[in-house]
Amino acid sequence: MSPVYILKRFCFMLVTLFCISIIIFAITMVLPGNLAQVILGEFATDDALRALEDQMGLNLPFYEQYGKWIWGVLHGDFGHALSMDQPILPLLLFRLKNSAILAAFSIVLVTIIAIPLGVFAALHRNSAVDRIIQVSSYVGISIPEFATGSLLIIAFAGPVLNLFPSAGYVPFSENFSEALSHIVLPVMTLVIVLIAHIMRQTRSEMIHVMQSDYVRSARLRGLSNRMVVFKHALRNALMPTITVLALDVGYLIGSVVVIEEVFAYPGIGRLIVYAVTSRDVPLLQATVLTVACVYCLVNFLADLAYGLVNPRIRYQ
Amino acid sequence: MAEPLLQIDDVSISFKTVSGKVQAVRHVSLEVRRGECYALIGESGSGKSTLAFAAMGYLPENGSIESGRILFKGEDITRYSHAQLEKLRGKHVGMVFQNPDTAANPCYTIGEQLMEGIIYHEKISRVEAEKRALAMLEAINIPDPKSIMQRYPHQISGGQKQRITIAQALLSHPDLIIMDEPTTALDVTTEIQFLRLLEEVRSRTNVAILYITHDMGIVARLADRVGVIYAGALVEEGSRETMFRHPAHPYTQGLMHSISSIEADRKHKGYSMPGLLPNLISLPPGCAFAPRCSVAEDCCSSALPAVQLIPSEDGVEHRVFCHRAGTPLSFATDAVEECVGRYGGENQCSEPLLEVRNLKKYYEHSTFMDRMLRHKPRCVYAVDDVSFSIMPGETLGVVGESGCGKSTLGKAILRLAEATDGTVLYRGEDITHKHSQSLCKSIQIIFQSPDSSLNPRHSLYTILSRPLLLHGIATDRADLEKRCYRLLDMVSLPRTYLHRKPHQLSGGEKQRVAIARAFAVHPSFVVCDEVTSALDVSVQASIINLLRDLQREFQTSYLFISHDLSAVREISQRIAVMYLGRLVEVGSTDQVFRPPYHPYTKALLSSISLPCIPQPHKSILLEGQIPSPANPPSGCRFRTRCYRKQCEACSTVTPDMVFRDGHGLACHLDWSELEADTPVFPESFLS
Repeated sequence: MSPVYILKRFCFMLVTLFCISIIIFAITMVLPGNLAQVILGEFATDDALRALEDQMGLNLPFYEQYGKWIWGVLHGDFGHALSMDQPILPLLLFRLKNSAILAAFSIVLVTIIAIPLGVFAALHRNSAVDRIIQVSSYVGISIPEFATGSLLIIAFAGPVLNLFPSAGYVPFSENFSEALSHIVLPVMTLVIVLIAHIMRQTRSEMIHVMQSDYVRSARLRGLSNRMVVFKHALRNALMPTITVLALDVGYLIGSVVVIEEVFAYPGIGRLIVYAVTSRDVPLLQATVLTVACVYCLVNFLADLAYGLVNPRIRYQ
Repeated sequence: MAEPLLQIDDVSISFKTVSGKVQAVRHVSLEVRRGECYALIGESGSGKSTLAFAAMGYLPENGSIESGRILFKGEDITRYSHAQLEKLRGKHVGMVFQNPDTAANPCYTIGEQLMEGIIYHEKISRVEAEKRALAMLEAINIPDPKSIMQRYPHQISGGQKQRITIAQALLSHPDLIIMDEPTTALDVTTEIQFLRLLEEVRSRTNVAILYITHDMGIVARLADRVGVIYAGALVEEGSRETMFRHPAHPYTQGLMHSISSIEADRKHKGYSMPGLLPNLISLPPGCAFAPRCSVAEDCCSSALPAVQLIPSEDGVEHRVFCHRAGTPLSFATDAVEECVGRYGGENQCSEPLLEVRNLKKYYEHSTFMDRMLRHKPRCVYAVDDVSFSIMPGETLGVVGESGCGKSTLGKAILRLAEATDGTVLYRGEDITHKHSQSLCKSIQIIFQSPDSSLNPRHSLYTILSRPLLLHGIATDRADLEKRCYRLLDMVSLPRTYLHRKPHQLSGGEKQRVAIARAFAVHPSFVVCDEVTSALDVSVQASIINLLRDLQREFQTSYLFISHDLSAVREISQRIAVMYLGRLVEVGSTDQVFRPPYHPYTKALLSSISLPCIPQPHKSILLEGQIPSPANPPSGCRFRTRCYRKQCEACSTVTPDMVFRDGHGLACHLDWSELEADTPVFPESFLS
């Protein structure tokens, strides 16, 4: 993989992020409701409103407002969360860290469970085990997350089997085992949802690759079954899986609103919901931008990983 | 007689499919002896590849060996364990596949894939394996083996790749190499390099070769003995000489006659065998060939023919499975009726139907960065300054290696690819950038693979009625149906086919549908882009005959694009030879096949393997690879591979096309010098 390729992907990511930031800012600008009005309440006088608007720069042209905002963001200043009256950055970092812990555990588990399952199912195609794997993973993906989460709570946090806490959060720095037990159920829910994705992708790609000419030729060169499967087939079969994994990481970071809601887990997904319901525009801008950043970064890393396993990617 | 190495003894193989049990191979017995080259020939679907894979102990999941034994050095490999099979494949039998592009794993370097087999089987160190791989690449004359070892498969050419698979197969010093149509995916000029290499390897080592092919030219060149397989059963076997001179089975005789080759008489239509391979699920009780056989009798369709031994001149066993072996057959075909229309008739110098002037098609592939930095645009010069004209009712053949731009030329004329520069005149009118319904009606194209050009979800009725409706030819439903039937009649397909889908048809029949679709609108000009390349030899002749009949009926002009010189010679009145985006020679078929030749044309002509010339004739090997059209050589494009003496102008000045009697050559050498060239084919072949 050439440095030019890395640089290209990186520049591509920056351009994407720039576009996203404009879109986010523009959308929050055209949302109904006046920011000054939100702060001062509905009984504010016109004079007070105008004064605050001037003070906050709400009457400036779009590009100037955007410039001020993005300049701040680039310097680590996301502004003030209006609804909580505190700086956004520390709040954001705390929530991001929590979501990241959830996402990291989930993605690692999904990877180490789903890929071997997919390979196994592909190698024993149409066998009973394959069918069981297929059906159960389908069940996992078809039940909505809130249902899966609630069922898990009933099963493992209910009165019968009180193994794990049903909700809440304990920092890892405080009490490791407590913290761990708090994320078991949310992680389990996410894994159940995502396993089918990765498993199906790996299985179908593996079946496709196992029928390819180069796998046949590897076999006919007298290589052992293990070499054929793990050296020649798997590496090729994993390429599309990497892309799907990256998309799933994005999903985990940004869209786990429901899970965090069910388990009352203080992650970034809940923060977005909070920002929307309390009409906290600066907080909304900051959280959405953060999720977009994570998404882009993960895809950038996936591109690099893809370039590593696929020698045909070679930008000159 | 050398001892037998591989013995296939009464082997039957079947596949389980949804529609029933397919009898892919039926009671085949044959043997490959030490050091010999045994060619197994047959149409696609005849079971020859299945047999070859079975000889390596490899069958698809749904296949099984029903009876018989496969002995390798006396041991029955059908009883081999997994580990024994691995050893057999890794050490004793090598294999070369049909498509070199897909046979190598794209993720690993050539070196890695060369070495892994011997590291695994012979437990040697990497360093030692590397030494051996390098030595092998050197032995088969691969330039710069060190750097090749470090490259990935996508970074080397197809011909190079196929040479490397030979190296791979030879690396473990096997006793036998099985080759499954190894040159089918290669150009003639690359094919000849490959065959040379094979001859060299055979002279150096005592390796036996089981060569699977449908190309008689290669069989004539390489094989010691030949086996012919039809519908899963061996029908005839004998020495090469016997098989070519005195074939006894009607199928072999037909096969020998259906080869559309250089020495075929151009005044008569090519012979094409009637009928199709039988359905291998429900085979008739008797001889499988009986329904297509012109001398079949009652006993043929009731009893399986027993083996007959026929005395041969050279003492090599000649076996035939036929009730009527040796019955002389008549393969007389109708004389070709020359087009008596505007072309070739009295008023020969009528207006050209289509004229192409200085046509250029460049593909720009500048990246975003290039544009930002205002780099000069990077181009692939696919078609560069090509001019020619086609008369009404005439066929112009375009030949050249793959990547020379011949298909792009066809597309640029049809505006499927917008021309960069130059003009295309149709009946004197500039149509280079014009798009109109009436033009689509008069200009049509037929593609190489009917599998991808016919929509698999549509019935023939839908496929054929589309152009009729689109161009408002059919007036109502009844008329539409009548016209569709007439189209089927025109391409000799049964009317019952109208509501079938393409997948229910054979390859040749599908191509007939594609032809019918093109002719539905009565075009006056048709581009035929490699229309026979995807078809079996026994079908190719019938497609060419059909095209010729249609041409006579409708006065259609063809641009017949192909890499198959034999096919081009058969159908074309004039031939254009293309190299790297430019025309190097244009002339009537007779002119092109006789001196003066362009050096490139001569190399192409001499690369053709001819079945009926017993000794391989002297072929010119072109050095190196065809340069990239993105970075063509300066001056004459062919100069980097030219074997004639070169002057200074060759590398600086692009040669202009010089015409004499309508024969054009683009070469810096003097006409007289080129004229003094030795002919590739004896005069008796060409008349």
